[in-house]
Amino acid sequence: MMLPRRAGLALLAIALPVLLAPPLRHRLEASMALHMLVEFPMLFATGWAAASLWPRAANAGSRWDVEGLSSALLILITTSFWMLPVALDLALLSPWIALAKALNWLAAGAVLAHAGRRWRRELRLFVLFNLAWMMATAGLLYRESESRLCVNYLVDQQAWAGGGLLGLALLLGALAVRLAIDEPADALDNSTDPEPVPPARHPARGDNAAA
Amino acid sequence: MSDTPLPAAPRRPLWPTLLCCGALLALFIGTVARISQGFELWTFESLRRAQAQQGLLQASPLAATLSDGSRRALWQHAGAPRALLVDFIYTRCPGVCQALGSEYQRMQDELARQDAPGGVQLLSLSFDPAHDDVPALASYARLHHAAPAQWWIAVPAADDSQRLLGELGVVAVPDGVGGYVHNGAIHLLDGEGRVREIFEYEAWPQALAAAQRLAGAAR
Repeated sequence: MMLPRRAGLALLAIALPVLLAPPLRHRLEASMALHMLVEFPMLFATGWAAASLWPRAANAGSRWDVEGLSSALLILITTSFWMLPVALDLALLSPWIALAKALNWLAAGAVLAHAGRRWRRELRLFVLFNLAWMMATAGLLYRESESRLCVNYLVDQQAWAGGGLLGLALLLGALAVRLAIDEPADALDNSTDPEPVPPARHPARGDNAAA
Repeated sequence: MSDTPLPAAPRRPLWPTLLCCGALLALFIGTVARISQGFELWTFESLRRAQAQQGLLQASPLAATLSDGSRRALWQHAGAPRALLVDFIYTRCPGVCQALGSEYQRMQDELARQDAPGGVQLLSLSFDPAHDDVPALASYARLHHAAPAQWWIAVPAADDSQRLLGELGVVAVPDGVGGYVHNGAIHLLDGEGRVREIFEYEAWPQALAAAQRLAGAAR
């Protein structure tokens, strides 16, 4: 799940100026769809790319993320929180919440860059399906609501964002189905062992102490 | 299939992960509970109205220029009205602001009809100081037959306007055709500049009644 170094640097070179330059960021945030479907993924990808540049950090924090449970939870709560209408508004009205939003998405991306390899097939499917239904629910709500749910956005912007979330939900759902078909459950038990044991080492003296 | 069992991976203790998940969940639930007032309010506007009812929206002292060119402090001074029904307008608004003008006109008529001095003041505040100068305000006042005794139409300085909008959580966004859309409503403020309640336009009779009760109580 790590990005090649060159790709990581390229992503950072594109995303950082957009995220750090207030006029560009404000332009993204002026549209609900761009805010949710471009800025959030951009922050996430920036965190991912930055973490990919430090492969030595791959095992950092792994004892807090056995089987990828903590990282999966972080991804799910980050995504669900920033789909709340009140959270979107507060991120535009309070500089502290805007900072929290940026740090939250950056951290989610950075964590997943290293933690993704700890995710077993079942967990990947669970996260993908959960993200898909959450986005579909929020997308329908935003798309169908006749009143403005966010004071910072117009009703038509809200409908566009809702449509975008529905599209993303379909994409994630399709990805989950493909994952389920391409990686049968039996084949995965061995292939995705998160931390294979080096053959020379005795299991009883594994690296629990180092973790 | 091989009969030789593979060496088992060393099992890491699960408790740090469970601790981490618990902390993340607690942070998530705590934050959501806080910003949604106990999982009840999911939009900024509903939160703002609840805060108004709890007396948490307070406007700083504000001076503004009225449609007759005079300048006056609006609240937090000795001669301030005991209750103000405030809304935010921009005079170029072709739609809902004009409709609101007619609501204010009806409230003005109602106030003028009553003999007793009420201590209730209607106030339409422009959030568009770049365009709304004194002639624009005067023209708006003429259009809606605003009588300064009951209804002030005013514009604060640009910085003061931004500060007030921020304090009261009023957000005006460009509508893409040269105007604005904003979370407009009738705000009931006391003489100290504290928002007591926020009403929909259609609820102007209730807003007026609440303002008269407030003014009567403060007499």
